[in-house]
Amino acid sequence: MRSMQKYYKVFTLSFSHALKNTKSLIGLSFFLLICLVIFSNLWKVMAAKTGAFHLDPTTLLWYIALNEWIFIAIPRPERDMEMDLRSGKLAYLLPRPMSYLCSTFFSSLGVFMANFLVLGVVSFGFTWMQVGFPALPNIAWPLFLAIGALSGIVGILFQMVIGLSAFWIHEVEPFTWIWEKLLFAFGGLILPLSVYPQWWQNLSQFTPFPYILGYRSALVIEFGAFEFFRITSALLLFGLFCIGAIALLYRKGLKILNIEGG
Amino acid sequence: MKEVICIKSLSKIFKIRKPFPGISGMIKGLFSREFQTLAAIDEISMSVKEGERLAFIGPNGAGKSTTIKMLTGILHPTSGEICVLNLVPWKSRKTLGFQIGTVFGQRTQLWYHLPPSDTFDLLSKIYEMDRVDYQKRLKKLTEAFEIGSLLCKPVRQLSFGQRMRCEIVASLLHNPKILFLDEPTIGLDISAKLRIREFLAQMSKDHGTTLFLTSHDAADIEQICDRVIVLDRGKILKDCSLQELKRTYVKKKILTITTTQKSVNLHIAGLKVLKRSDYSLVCEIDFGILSIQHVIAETLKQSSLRDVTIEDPSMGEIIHKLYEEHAKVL
Repeated sequence: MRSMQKYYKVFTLSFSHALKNTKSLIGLSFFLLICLVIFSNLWKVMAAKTGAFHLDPTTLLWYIALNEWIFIAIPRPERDMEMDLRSGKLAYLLPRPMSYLCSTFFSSLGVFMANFLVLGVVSFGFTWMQVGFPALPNIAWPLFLAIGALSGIVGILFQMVIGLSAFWIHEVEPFTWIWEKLLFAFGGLILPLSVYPQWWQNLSQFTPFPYILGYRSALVIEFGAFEFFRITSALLLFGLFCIGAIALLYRKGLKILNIEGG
Repeated sequence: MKEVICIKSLSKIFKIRKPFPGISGMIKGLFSREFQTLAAIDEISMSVKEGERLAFIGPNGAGKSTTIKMLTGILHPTSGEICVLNLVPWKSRKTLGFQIGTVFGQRTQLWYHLPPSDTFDLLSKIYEMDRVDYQKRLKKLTEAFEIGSLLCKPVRQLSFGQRMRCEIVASLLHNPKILFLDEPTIGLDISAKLRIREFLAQMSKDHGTTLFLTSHDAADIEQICDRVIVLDRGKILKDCSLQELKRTYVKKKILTITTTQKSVNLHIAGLKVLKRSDYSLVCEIDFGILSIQHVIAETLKQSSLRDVTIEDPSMGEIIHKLYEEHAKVL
């Protein structure tokens, strides 16, 4: 119980810290708006040329908004983890009676939730002003929030896996870069997944990327309980996979630290 | 007083991948791995008593950080025994974590956009402190470190010296029995340095907190510590009190004489004039050859004295000399 109190406190502190970092929130909101304008125009052309999704402007913009909202809201814990290791701050944090991994996770979760709320208001507000609400059952909206939060959590966990690679490669930027590009390509961020070849679409199903972005956002086009549970289950499975990978890599990483020094 | 740290024949050997030079070496490194061993700590033994203020010093790469990492349970030794507060650190890192504190001068634990009180509150949860105890402890430390007016200001608005005082309070909040300090005054201005040193020494005296300090600033050592351990290339060069270190290595003193006569000429073996001006003379005296009494007697033959001051060489010079002597032996 006391353990949970610690991490809850890390979460709340990180949440309020992120909210007080107004410059960063303004920057992210501005970036989100630019992305929405650019991608909505890009996709209008794509939709006209390819007939993708048979999208009408309303659902098109909502799809983009839901994608960009989570993509931008996920913080970058891997960069902090790399810095902790490279600067020796890890040696400062490890003696504390608190799990480094849990503290990193809850700290990132706090930042994510602050971004999630602020960018949610910006993205939903902008899209609503542009095209109004799509025709969806009322239950869909809280479910969008829930699945959006879940996909953000899974995104954080994957990025923590990348962060732990710093034990071996010392610089995580190349992996972060690859992760982002895969999110772009397999997640349906730049182009709708339906315009890719069938084999690409089939392959993407076995990756976490469309569940974090494209499939989740496509619920706004065609909302269904079965699809919602399919995406949620996949996200939970990928989340569990990440937790296992994080535990294993961390144990191995600490062993390396012990053998090769900090 | 009981021992809080006990180390016997402690060694730590790292196995490091051998780099190959040049571009061909880089390609070779992808396919073949060769390792070399490095003895970061080589059979050291020492003990530290409760309430001692120990300076653990040495040049870069001496093994100070490795020792601290072993003492805090981050690394485990290759051989030897290590015991901190009756616990084996690497086996009981979490339990030990409740009883030790760390201050790393260049790293912060304060949240930049939030006031220090929020970080203190978080730390009280991390160290599972009772709410009433936490409030009492915070009040005491707030008064001791004079940070009452800073508690509710965002950290970004604090000066570096104010921030450092808050960092130390954060590290002391859970009342650690041992405080590890790594360059606690780095980057501070002179008055802030002085205040931090005073606070630390006083806090240790008042509460019996053991201080384990590593610093390249000789004044930190002189003003905070009462014992010095000098480490080089993984071995202990010297383990003695501060006074003993001075006695052993201070062979020269600086004498400043102010006279009534405009100039005084002293030509004595063992005396080196460092600075000469009207009515004043600064000289270095090698008291293996010459006594201060003799210099004053010689001066009095030529002039009456207005003032005399005697200074030891700085701690920095003493440490430098110690390293130099050891390098010659090697």
